[in-house]
Amino acid sequence: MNNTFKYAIIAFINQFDPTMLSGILGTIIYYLGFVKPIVTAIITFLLPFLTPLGELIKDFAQTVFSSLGAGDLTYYFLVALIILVVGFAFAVLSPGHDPIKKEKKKE
Amino acid sequence: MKQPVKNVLRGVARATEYAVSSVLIPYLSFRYLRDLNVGGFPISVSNEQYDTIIFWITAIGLITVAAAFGVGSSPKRTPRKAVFLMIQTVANCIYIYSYKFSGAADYSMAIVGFGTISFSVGALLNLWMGVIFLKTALNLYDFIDAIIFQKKQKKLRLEQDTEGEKDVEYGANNLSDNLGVVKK
Repeated sequence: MNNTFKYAIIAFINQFDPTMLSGILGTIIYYLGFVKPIVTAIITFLLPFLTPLGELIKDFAQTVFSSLGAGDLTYYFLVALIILVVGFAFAVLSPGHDPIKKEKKKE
Repeated sequence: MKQPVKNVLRGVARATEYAVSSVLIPYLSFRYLRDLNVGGFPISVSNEQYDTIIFWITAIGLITVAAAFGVGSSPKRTPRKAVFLMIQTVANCIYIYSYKFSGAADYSMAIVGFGTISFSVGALLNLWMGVIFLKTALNLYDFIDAIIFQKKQKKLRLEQDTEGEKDVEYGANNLSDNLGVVKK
């Protein structure tokens, strides 16, 4: 299945010669030219506000990231499992608003 | 359908959404880019840190998915939803930073016979980190709002309960009066 998909991509790409591909890329770049001013305006407007805040968060992420261990997925899997179990326990034991229970209590 | 089952189903739906968008699609994309070997039309990818990228995508993605389950399964305006949201935001923040750290933000691809395509989204990632800061502030607001809302709800429920008891007492008095009338 994996190889079939890979060969399908190869066959698809092989249909095109380099000049045709450059033509397609040229068309994409031409149309991107229309979107560019809008994206630039949005980013230019947001950049002065968000970049300093982003730097703050980046420093925080850097600190957390440097303390994380690479190469072994077990710890991450365990942390994810703990969060999942806690979430599941809360969802089942304290489900929040329950109209059925209220009606039963009224009866 | 019972409320706990509804909660769990909502959680599973949200976790699936995150699993597809933040783990499965990036994982498959980077794996295909790593393994891509096109005969007759060679594409050489200069970035060689795919294993690191894939590792961090899987590791932080797992935590994001678990937190997404917690968010999805919690009822609206509850402190626990806000806490799970906070965990999810922090995980997202590290997830995005891992892209930058592993070199996925600066990418270059050489196509023989055409040239080189390279892009750098480092500045955009910084911008996105700023958005995450705003999200964190919103989560804090949600947390405080949830605590206040729950206190109000508790107070309201207590008031309703006492009113209910009063009604029952009033009804009993009326009944005894009526009985008295019948006796007379």
